[in-house]
Amino acid sequence: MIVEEIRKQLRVAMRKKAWNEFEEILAQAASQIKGWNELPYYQGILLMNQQDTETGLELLREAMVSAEERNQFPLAIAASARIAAEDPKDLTVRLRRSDLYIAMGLVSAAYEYLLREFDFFRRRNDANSLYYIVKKIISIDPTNLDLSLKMAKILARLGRKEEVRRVVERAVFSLQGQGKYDEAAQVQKEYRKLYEEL
Amino acid sequence: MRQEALDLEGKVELARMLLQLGFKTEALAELLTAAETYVERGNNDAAIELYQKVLEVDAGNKIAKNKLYKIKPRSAQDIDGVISKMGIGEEEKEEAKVPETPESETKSDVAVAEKEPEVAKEPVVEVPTEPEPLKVDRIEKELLSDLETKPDVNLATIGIEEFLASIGPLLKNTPEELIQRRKISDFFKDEGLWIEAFFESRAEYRTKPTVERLFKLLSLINQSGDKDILVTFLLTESFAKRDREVEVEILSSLIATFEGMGRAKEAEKMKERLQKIKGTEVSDKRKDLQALKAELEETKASTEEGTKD
Repeated sequence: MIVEEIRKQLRVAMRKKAWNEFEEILAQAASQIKGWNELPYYQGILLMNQQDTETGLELLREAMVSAEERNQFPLAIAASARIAAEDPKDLTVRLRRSDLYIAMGLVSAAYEYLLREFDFFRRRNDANSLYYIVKKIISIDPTNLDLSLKMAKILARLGRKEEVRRVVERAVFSLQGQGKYDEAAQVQKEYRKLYEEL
Repeated sequence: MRQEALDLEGKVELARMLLQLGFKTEALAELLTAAETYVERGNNDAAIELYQKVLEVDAGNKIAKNKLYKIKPRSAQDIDGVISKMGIGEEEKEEAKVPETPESETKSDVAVAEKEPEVAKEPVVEVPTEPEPLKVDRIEKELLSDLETKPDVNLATIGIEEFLASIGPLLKNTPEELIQRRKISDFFKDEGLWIEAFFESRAEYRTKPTVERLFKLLSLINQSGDKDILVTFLLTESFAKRDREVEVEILSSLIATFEGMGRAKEAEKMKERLQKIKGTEVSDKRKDLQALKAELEETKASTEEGTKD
């Protein structure tokens, strides 16, 4: 009950951008609620607004991990969003957010989020980050061979020869393991050129 | 979830508008994606036009230059152009014109960027008769080997449509997922993370785009004050197939947004599009009335025939 009331007060102060008031409420919360796991999250927000970005980001990362451990996924996602807004290059946090959606059983939300990220890095011409986004997509459901092979084509466009080879070989082995030899041969024939021509 | 999947004309139109709004990078990405798709479809003329458009906006765009070099048919005149761009025979003259070259830029980059207007004015290059074929050959080979050695990672050509086509079928939210996402959206709203709330709520809107849902989304973007996302969302939506009343609201919102931003020209364009939709609406109603009239006349005729019998 106290937690809810404090959270409400903090949100009101945050919307008003009344950071002194926010700090006071937070100090009060720290003394009243022992071991409140949301504390680093709100402290992080405060510090970022007080221009102590580094410590603020550190606290938000801590809050994200702690929220995830306690299955407070929306809070973890909120922390991740705030980190990404302040530090767009933190790819680990950005990728982790898709894991949070998956942990909530929101697989399509994870894909949708990765689509946003794909567009984000594409527009910034960041081939390296884009590569990790594509890899993440494949990792969500490696048994989805159709998707993996489509992603292999994008990996090929990114010049990731070895990765393409790995994805294709994995698909071929998987098909062979299922006794689908004709399909495996077809895939090998069609996709081999992707890494051989690079 | 096909709102990004615009047709090529739509993409070009979107790029044009983005350009007018000052979103240069986004506009170039759209143009390059559309051009690449034209190439894939074998329509090189259209692609060339778009690559040239890219170069008009960004004269140093290497992707457009490289692609143009690959697909543009080369005549002897083009080769002359290449030679002149490479600065053969007039190096001293040109060097005098370009006194300061940033170290990061290559010599050929500067030559292309700085000499293009001159090439357009008059072919000033005097190509020596004897060594000409050798030089052309050498230059083309150098240029080609340059293109081949640099990995051609052109992210703009990896269109969002291509990516969507790969994961599109996976983006459908189940009713349970939508409920959860609504909860996340509410949490984001409480936290003042308006744009994040917008992206969560957009899933529900896309499942069934209605005016009410559209207004909710617009209110979230307005709360954030992010005009870029507002314009991009509305522009993209304006090219998607939606119910007429939703389309009308999208265009009306775009008009209001443009007017609010002092972009009268864009607002006028949108008004024209809105008028078109409303015109279609009127003509559709007229068609309905005509059909009704014909039906009534038919019924009347058959009743009269029945009476005669």
